[in-house]
This record gives sequence, structure tokens and C-alpha cells, in this order.
Amino acid sequence: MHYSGGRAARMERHHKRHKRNGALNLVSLMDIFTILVFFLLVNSSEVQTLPNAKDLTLPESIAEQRARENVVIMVTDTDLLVQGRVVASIADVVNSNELVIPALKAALLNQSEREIRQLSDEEAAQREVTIMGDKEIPYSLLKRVMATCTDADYGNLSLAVLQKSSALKLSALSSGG
Amino acid sequence: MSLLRGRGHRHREVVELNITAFMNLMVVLVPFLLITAVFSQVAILDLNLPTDGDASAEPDEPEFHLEITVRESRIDVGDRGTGLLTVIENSSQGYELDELGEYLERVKQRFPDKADATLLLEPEISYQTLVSVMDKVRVLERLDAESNQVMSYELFPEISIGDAPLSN
Repeated sequence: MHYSGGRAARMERHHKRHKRNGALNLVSLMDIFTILVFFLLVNSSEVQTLPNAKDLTLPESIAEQRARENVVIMVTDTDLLVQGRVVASIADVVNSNELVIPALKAALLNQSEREIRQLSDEEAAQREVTIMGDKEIPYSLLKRVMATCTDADYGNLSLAVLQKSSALKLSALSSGG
Repeated sequence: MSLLRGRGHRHREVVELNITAFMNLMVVLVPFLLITAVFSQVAILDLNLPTDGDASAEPDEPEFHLEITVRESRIDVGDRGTGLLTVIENSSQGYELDELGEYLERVKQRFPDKADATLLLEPEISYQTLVSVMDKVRVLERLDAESNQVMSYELFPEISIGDAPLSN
């Protein structure tokens, strides 16, 4: 029954069939994209206040307190940065013996001068600073950074850490699931 | 077979949705959100250092004051007034932080109102060790067997930091 008609008619039928079947089935792709978009939208509602730490690895902790917007001191294994600008190199800092790091203090005082609102003395002593340090830096260096902060009237120090779940929590999750 | 297909085709030729614009939107939105997504959460640990004004104003009552000294090879837990309470030696894997947590829990049971502690460190202790010890001093995590959930108990959240005295 298929022998009726010429070659051209057969080709046309063939093409027609192919055209109909050739449309991509995008339903599953659409499903994935829709779910992914909603997931990412919900996820990105939390705004990150701290800068990305590409050249340092923060220590891990089970702390849950959110970071606040304030002056950020970064201590990598080569440089000391205030608000993203290099103020001193670690080698210079380690070589000098003073407790207070002069370059860091100058940068911090410069930061507090740039504040628009003039603070009273009491408020000024409670200014906040966040220290983002590499997890390998020794305590002796950290101590000098902290001493410089208090010397420059930044009394409230916070240490930035990478949030992780404790081993106990993970085991509870895996056994509970 | 041909009958079924024919009927299906008749019904289907109406429902051709043009989703190209929607697809374009999705394709742009997904990479954009993937790039801006935050996968590693940053948290902070608060430290309250004394400023120049209110230092050394404490009366010298014989009050219990917890001191945790982190050394290269061990952790000492002591009272500033009476001296050493216990020594936790390192194992081959490093600091015995779980043992420290259990000991501090017993200390907390004896002094339930106590909320502050002093952490004393030797110069070469790494930042990660400092943070891990602070975690253990701050909170105790316990697995609740009934609900299978982790409960956090506060131990000594007000931590101050200082230099370790030279070991004898």
C-alpha cells in the first residue's frame, strides 16, 4: 500500500514527519531551570557583608553569628590589608619588634577620620572592626594586630570565621535521615 | 496505530506554546544567580578586649577565674587564684579538644553562673587552633537521643585573650 505515489511525494512525507518529530522536548529542562532559579533566588536573599577572601583561608568554626558591616582588616600570609588596600607586608611587620604596627594604626585612624558622624569618646572606644585572618597565621601576629586595633580605639573586635557544621550535627543528620 | 496517531495529532496542533522568550530569561538568570550565590557562609566570633580606660580595675577577691592555656604540646586548664586544675596532653592527632569540652562541662556544673574565661596562648599557636579552642570554650554540643537533634549549651561565652606565661 505504500507503493502508491512517486518519489517526490514520498520524500515530502518523510520530511514532514521529521519536522514534526524534530522539535526538542524542553519540558524536563524547563523543570530543572525553574526549580534552580527559585532555589538560587531564595539562597541569594542573604547579602554577604564581608568581602570575598580569595587569597586567604579562614579558620572553621561552629559560630552562628552573622557578620556586621564595619571596617575589615585582612591578614593574609603576605600582606596586611585595611578595607582592601595593602598597608604593610607581613615580612616587615614580623621583622619589627614593636607591639603596635604603625602602618596599620595610621590606616585605622584614617578610617575613623573619614566617618561622617562625629562620635562621643565613649562611642568611639566601642568602634567595631572585623579581622579576617588566614588560619595559619601565628598568635603572635594576631596579638599585634589586635593590640593595634585597641590602640586605635577600635574596642570591639570580631574574628571572621568560616561557618561549618560540627561533626556531631553531621552524624545526627546522617543517622536521622 | 495510525488511527491513534491521527487523533492525537488533531488535538495537539493547537497546544504549541512558544517558550523561547521564557527559555532566554532562564538561561540568563541561572548563570547570573549561580555566580552571585554564596556557598560558604562567613560568621563572626565576638571578642571584647579591654580598652585603656577600664583595665586592671578588678578587686583582688579570691574569685574563681577560669584560665585555659594553649601550649605547643598540651592545654592547661586552671584557676587564676589557685593554680592548675588539669592538664590535657596532645595525642598524635593534635589537641584533645573533645576532652577539653568534657572537662569544661564539669567546671560549668560546679560554677553555673560563671560566663567568662581567659584564653592564654603561646606565640606560635595557629589561628585555627585559637578558633577551635574558642568554640569548645563557648558552647557545648550534645546529641539529644530522643529527638536526634544537636542541642547547644552555653559554657563560657565571654572570652578574653592573652599571652601564655612561660612554661616551667
